[in-house]
Amino acid sequence: MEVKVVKNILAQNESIAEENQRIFKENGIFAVNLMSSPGSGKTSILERTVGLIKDELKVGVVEGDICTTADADRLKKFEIQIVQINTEPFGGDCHLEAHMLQKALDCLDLSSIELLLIENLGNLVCPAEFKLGEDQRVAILSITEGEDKPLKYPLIFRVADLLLINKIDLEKHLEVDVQQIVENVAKINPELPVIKLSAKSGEGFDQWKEWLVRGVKERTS
Amino acid sequence: MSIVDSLIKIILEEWKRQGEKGRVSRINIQVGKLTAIIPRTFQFCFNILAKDTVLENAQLEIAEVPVKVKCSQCNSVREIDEPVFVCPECGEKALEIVSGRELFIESFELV
Repeated sequence: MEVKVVKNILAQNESIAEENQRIFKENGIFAVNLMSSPGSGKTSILERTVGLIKDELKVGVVEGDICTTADADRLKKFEIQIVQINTEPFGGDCHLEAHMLQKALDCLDLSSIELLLIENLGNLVCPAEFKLGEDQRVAILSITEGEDKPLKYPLIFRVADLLLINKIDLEKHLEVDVQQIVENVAKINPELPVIKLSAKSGEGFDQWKEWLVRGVKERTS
Repeated sequence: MSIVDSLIKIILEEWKRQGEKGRVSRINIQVGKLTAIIPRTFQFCFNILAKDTVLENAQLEIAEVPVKVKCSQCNSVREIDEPVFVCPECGEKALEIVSGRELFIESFELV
């Protein structure tokens, strides 16, 4: 006997993601999901971003990692609200899912957050497939990863709303062709805005900060 | 792994609704080529998670759905074989994805 189902396999994740989105709207929170490969500088970008923005906006951070609280520890000095999700208790997953984020939201005082930065796990594949209920998805690629990455991992660059190209300070020391990275990104997603920055030197952070502040204003206005 | 887990949960739920009778012999799913799914890996995860359930030994039929795009300029709908999002007809870059992101369970068979 054939049983017809016709159901999106990720339907459950997507319905929880919708609940999360409702929570963000109700609390006037602009939520950003940061996705990249390991070592691209997500946490360094977060450190500089939080330092730059915390006096203007009420920032909260959700840190996703398979294990350790090292990333959350790096951000403790800013005295902002941080929740660390370790996916190991959930089975060592390689990405965040909407239900994990929902549990993390329970640990935050949402009424005093305007900008929620969610650091996904270091992985260019799976995070692209799981919506969390965020407002915007930001992919990060560092120039040390090579020019071909957008072509090798097209989905993440297709679903992203913004791309940060990090470690731009290293351009003069490397043989990497940054223009080629930008061109490869455009082949996958010609509408994807790109900001080149360096978490080390701070170059490009004005533009990134402006993007975040604009997102918060649009949410709260 | 968690995608396979969701699939199994959906089927078990439906199997209960059908009166918890029989075993699942075959599962038909549609997977777009522009998803993070590799059929061989999917099968491997399925074998592990289906063990000791009514889904054990069920045959997974994975229909791969090609990536098709619709051009915003010339309106042609074309299949693309590589991740270069340029209209094969007119070279336009603003394309809408019309297929390739599927991750659907269509049906399963009970014996």
